[in-house]
Amino acid sequence: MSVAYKAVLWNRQKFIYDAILLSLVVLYIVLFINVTQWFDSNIDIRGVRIRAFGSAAFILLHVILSIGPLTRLSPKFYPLLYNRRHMGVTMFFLALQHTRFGLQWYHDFGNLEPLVSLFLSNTNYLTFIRFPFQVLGFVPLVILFLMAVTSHDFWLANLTAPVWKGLHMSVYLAYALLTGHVLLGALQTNTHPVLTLAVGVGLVWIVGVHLAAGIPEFGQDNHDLATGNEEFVDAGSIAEIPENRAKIVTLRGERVAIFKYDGKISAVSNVCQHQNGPLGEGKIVDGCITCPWHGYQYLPENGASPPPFTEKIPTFDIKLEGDRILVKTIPNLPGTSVNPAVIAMEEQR
Amino acid sequence: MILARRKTHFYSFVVLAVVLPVCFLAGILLRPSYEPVDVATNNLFTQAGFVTQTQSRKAIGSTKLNDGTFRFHVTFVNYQGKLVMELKSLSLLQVPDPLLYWDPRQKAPTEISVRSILLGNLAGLSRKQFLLPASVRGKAGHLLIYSQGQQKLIAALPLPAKMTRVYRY
Repeated sequence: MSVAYKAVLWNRQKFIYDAILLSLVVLYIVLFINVTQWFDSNIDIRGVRIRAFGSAAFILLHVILSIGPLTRLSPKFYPLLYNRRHMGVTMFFLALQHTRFGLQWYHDFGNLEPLVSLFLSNTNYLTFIRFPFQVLGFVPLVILFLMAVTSHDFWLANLTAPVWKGLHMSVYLAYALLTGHVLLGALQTNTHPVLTLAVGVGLVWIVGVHLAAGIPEFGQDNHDLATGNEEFVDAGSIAEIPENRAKIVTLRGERVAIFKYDGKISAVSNVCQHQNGPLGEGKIVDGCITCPWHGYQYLPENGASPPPFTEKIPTFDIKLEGDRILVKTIPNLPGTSVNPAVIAMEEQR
Repeated sequence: MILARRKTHFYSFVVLAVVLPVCFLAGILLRPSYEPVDVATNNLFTQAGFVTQTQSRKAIGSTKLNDGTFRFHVTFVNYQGKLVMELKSLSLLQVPDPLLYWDPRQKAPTEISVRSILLGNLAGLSRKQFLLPASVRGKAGHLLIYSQGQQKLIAALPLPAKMTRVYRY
């Protein structure tokens, strides 16, 4: 949430996050190179550097892809998600350096341009096991480049969150291709079982944790409260919702967050305008709904960010019948004021 | 995320959950094994005209070639009547894709000609063996270093006739 343009909204948390990230990356690369040379002092340092940067990028990609589903499984992982884009950009630069070293070592000094040589040095495009693994690394690099240059909030705001999210979900294609790059590259020449096992475990982990997080979400999306043309639907009881927290329900294919606060009930879209984060998993802080992803805030009565900020989300009319919460199935326009339902004294006790 | 993105995300991983393990297992199971060569393969190398270590080896002579930029230690060997030049570079060749030619001209050539005979690749610091064709025997000429990357002749090192005779001098 910003009023005036700033390239990066640095704060203490981001400095700490980036310092830890860069320290771990540098430590890994230094350890990788030194330990490898300790095992074999005659090994060529240029080949070791290629593997150090490549493996660092691949491991970091596993970490990045794990954060999203882990936050769905436990809110303890939300701090990792806060600055994940810096992690992604770091991963791109590691991959870029891996590519640069690889081009210099394997494709330079020939009678072809290194990038042309990359695509023509192995032309077994119609085979599986001898498929040119370099291409399986180059295409993801282009995807990661597009993601890195559009990672800024400028692009997020201009492309809109759904388009931006769609573009950045191409990271899954990049992951699949990179797994092929490692499988048909490093794992073909280095047959040590530990390396094979590590890549296999990484694959099972990434696919497994995404399915573990996605299957319950898929189930919730299929449990739509609005089955007909009803104007209001029963969204549950007041007692189900903890103070300053929300219950999330699905209405006509989209999710609605119903918040309880200060003896009142309000309902807004569950989708944060910033990055489409799940507002209903956040809480009321200083009277505002606060997104758990990046802290964007909205007033529960009208779905608008407090001045001077300008973000707005749709609101829903709401009423109470006893302890039951009834929500209108048609949303109001973003930023529309709705009187919160006031909880009767006997219901609050 | 909005519902459409959640669905894309979910179905993407359903597809990945099927495709990736299959590809991974295929990549491991179909991994070709590169067996080290053994004595049995020597016949194949001999038939192809290569020199093998099992053949009797008689050194003819050795010398150092030095033109100020490139330095080589060269040994000429008679392998059962075949003239073989063993060459070791004494300094790193800072030349892209270096190739070694023999040329019969007595004056140092300035470019490759149709009479130049390609002996092989010269890259690296390891000792290399080059099988010299019969037309080279007993003749003086030049060893040429040609850069395939730069497409030009880099050096011409004179080679006296006595080095290419297939007998001990």
